[in-house]
Amino acid sequence: MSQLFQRNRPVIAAYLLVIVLAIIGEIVASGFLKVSNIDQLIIEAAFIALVALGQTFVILVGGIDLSIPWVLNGAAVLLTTFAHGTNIKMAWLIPVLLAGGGMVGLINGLGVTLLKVPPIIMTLGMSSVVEGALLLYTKGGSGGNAPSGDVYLATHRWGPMPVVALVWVAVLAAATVSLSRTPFGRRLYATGLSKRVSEFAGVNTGLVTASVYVISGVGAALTGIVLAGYVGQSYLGMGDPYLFSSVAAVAIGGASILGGSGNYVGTTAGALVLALLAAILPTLGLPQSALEIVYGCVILVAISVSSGQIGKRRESS
Amino acid sequence: MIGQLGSPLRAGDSTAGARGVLDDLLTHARGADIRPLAAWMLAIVFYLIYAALQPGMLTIDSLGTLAADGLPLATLALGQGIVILTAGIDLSVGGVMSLGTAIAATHFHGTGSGLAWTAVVLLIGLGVGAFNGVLIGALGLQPFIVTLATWSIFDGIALIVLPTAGGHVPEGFAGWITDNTAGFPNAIWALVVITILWLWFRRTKVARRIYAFGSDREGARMAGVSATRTLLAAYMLSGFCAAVASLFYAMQITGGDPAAGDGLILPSVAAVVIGGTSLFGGQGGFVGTIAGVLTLTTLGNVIFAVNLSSYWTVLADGLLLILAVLAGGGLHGLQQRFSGGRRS
Amino acid sequence: MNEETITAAGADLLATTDISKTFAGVHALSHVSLQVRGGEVHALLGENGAGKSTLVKSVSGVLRPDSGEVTFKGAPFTPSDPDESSRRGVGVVFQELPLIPDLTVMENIYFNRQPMTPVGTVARRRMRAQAERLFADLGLPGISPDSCIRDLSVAARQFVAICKVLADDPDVVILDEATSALGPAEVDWLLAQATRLAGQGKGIVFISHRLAEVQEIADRVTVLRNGQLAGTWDASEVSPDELVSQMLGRKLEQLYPERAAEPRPPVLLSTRQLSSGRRLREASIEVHEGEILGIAGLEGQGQLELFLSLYGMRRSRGGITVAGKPRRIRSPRDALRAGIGLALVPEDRKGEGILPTLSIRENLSLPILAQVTRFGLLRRGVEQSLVARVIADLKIARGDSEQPVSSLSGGNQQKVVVGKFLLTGAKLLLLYDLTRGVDVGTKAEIFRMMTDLASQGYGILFYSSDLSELVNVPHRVAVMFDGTITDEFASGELDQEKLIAAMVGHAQRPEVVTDDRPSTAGAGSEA
Repeated sequence: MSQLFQRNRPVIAAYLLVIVLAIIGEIVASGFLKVSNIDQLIIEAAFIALVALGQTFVILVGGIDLSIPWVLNGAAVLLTTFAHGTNIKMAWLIPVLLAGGGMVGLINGLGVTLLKVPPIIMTLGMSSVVEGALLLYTKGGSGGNAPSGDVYLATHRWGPMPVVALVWVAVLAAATVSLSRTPFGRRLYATGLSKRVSEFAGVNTGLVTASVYVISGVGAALTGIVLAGYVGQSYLGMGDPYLFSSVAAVAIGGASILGGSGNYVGTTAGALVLALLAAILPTLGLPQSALEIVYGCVILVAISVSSGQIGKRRESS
Repeated sequence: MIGQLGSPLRAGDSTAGARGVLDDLLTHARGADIRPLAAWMLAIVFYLIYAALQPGMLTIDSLGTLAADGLPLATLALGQGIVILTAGIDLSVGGVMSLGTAIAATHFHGTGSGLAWTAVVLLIGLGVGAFNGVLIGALGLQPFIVTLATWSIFDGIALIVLPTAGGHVPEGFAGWITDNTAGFPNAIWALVVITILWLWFRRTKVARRIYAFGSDREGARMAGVSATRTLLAAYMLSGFCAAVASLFYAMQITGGDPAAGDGLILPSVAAVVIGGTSLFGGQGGFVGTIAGVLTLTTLGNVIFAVNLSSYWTVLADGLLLILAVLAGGGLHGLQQRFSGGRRS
Repeated sequence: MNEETITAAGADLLATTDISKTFAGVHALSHVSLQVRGGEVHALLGENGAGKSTLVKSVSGVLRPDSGEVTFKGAPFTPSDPDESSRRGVGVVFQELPLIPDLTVMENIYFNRQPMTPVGTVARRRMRAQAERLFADLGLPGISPDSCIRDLSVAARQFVAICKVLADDPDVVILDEATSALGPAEVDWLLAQATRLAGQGKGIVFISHRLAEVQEIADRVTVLRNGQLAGTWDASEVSPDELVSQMLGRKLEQLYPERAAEPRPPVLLSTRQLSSGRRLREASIEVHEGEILGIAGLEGQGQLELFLSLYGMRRSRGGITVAGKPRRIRSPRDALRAGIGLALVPEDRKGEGILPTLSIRENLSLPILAQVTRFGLLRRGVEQSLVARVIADLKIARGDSEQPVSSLSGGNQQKVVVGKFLLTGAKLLLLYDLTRGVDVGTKAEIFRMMTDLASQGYGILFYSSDLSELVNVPHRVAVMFDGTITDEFASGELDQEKLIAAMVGHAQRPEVVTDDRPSTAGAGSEA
């Protein structure tokens, strides 16, 4: 049991931070923790966390996905453009868009595993390719309105919970089970710790690596679709903030950027931290600039905390 | 008995005699890593295509314009390249860029204040670099995350100084980058000076330690190279270059932009990588990076010249990056095999 | 450069007094006192973890001792890193060969003393001349100062590391496992150098697991055990067996176990003209059930490629048949399916086959995750019981399978590396240099494990760079040269001299060698 505690110290620290921030928020602006506010917070955090799902998996394997923002944007724009605000086409449109996201992820994955292109370069290049393709397609114009069905889905509630939050919970459950209780998860961590040793043990590290990029691509596309519904429309640049937040959430959640340690439960905490900060600072009258500064500081503190534990990890790889 | 040693020492060569001169050429001068060479060939090809499409491009003036275009990126990439040599990466250059242009646009009023605040900008660059260096070197934190965080912090500070793009810079200042001195465009002078500084720097002890550290951390430590001091030097140089680049950029856009850096960070990495520097550290240099900058800058112009929408540039940049890395890797692999290299 | 100080014959050059060093509660060194005299070769022996490397690192500045004193020529000696240590007179050739891969030979040798121009840059021509002079002095004409370290073989790198230390002309030279990667001729050179330097009045500390080498050149021997000094003796007064008992703290009944029963007829593995790349050329071997087949060869003769090809880590041409069925092996998964497992200790000793932060259970079950899965989920109970069986079978010391593998001793870690494959149904085990740099006690355990497995019917292909192991453990030995099998010996007809002659003998063929001086065949360095 104590070993469980040891291994998960950064995650626990992240959740403590969440609680602390919630309390600070309540102190600073009473009524902060009223239901409608929490609602809002959870939705904001959910979007970050959905995008960060893929990023978590990719970082666990020792890579990074810089193409998330534009895959997100692409899915959103294509949805609104093709659906023309109606619901009819959604049935086939959504699977196609998710598959498209997966395709981009697959290309990333193949580039990293087969062609041995470093992940930063591969995903950066693909990001530009997707961005350029999207710009050419839309000719710089905005994407139009989201179909009402999508909007309904994104803003509807089931009982007390927003649907988005339910999706998030489902994803959280699936991700956690898959990481801790399935062969895939075991192989993922092994690959992140040492590709070479894993190969020797018969793990298909190429397959594992490529899959996580596919997951990331699908996740980004999914988030784009839901985001378009939530905002009501799509526009160019809607994915931009999510690059920083996806990586930040993973880092605050205690995962090592080198791979092999961390989990989605931590990332969830990271997303909550980011959302809380974004909600608290305006109530203090602080502008966007302060938020960016605080984000940076929080990340530095978080990695300093988890590095004390992580320091000994990378011995033989 | 010693003679037998000839065999084990020459890596795997039972056909020693034949290769002779070529062997010498490829293995002896270590600087003959083929990737920068390939990068230059690519850059020159691009430039010639551009010149063919747009007549009159081979004049000093138009070269000067091209140089002015690429100067901020080149300066940025110089520092980025040094950090990448240590197997690190510096995302905070974006923040330094933003803050630098913001200060220029709000505090440069005349020669006096201009010079004084220039010094401030340069000091800020060094300071950010020192901060990064301490966290990465002394605390052992990962460069990607640390510089991601400092980028955010300094972008935030830039926003405080200059909330929206704009501001005002003195005309004398802004005009420098497009002016001439002694018949040559200032931008070209600047690039020449920077290149000479690099060629000198490359042969200094500091550079030696940076290359050693990037090549093999442990080996470097045993040879007395302090990780902290080396990383401190690398990141401070990067911060300094970013500060200089911010001033060039301010000249270019005749103002300031609190998001100036955001769009240039990743191109700086791209230019370094296209130029043949390895992300794993220990190999590469600015000579190749300039070729990378030239390629990226010319690509945009070529696309403009063939009347394609500038959105094609974005797409082309991405493809170029991936293909250049693939090609570089492939060529390097061939070179290794050809020269009897031992990496299995 | 140190001036030639006339030291009285036998005067203490380097001395440690009461040195102690503790890591995380483990006493790596406890009150060790050792003296190195001018003019002597002083061997330092001990098991892995006995403290030899810690002692060397404490002396050279890599570590700071917790208590005690190091003195050099009577004065306190506290260098800040090995480089300074070397400059001040105590040079160390480390086991890990810390050379910078992307720099050239001369840049490495003169790293901190590169001749500079007035402008602050490096004077390359002067440096090259210095390097060439150094090589000539040492009798090593074959290395170009401008070669990149990355391009050199491990043996060549070891030479460069030795030159680097000798370039400073230190009064004390410490050689930590400096012969582990060298072939017989190079070992001879090194031992001759060590003796020559001692003859010049320098003090040589020689650390090696190869007792034969120690016997040959040592004047005095010190044994460390569990971080403590077991004793220092004149080399002539103590026998190898006594040394081994001192190292272990008990009598080692037998380093090499009784050979397993003669192998049964069924051929487990056979290859037909297996080739891969430039190094492996048409190798054909056969391994029977219950047999240990040893592979012998100088470095780089294709043995690594043979093993990697059999395990699918390299592309190869030619036929591979396992248990009578021809198999196409293109990846480790193919190999595992065919019933082959590979435990490989790579040259650079990195990535030694385990994931240190994961538990013993997680390491052992990695190849067989599919077996312990139902409905997509891992079944912890099944996993634990399977793993417990392996731990018991191989006698992996710790009972608790949840501890991280990093907490195990070196020998037990090696068992985990091999143990992984026992659950996969592998019948043929490829063991590559498993005993490199491993102490005597652990080696005995490994050999015992191998013979046990062989008697259970496993086939083992075993490569070692240690000739005495090859003579004593396998049933047969195949010698490789230039990518093919050139000789085969049954264990009864083999001794070390014959083995070296076979390994080296083929290097005499005129079309291959670059220098046609006759070799000193036979008279191997391992007595």
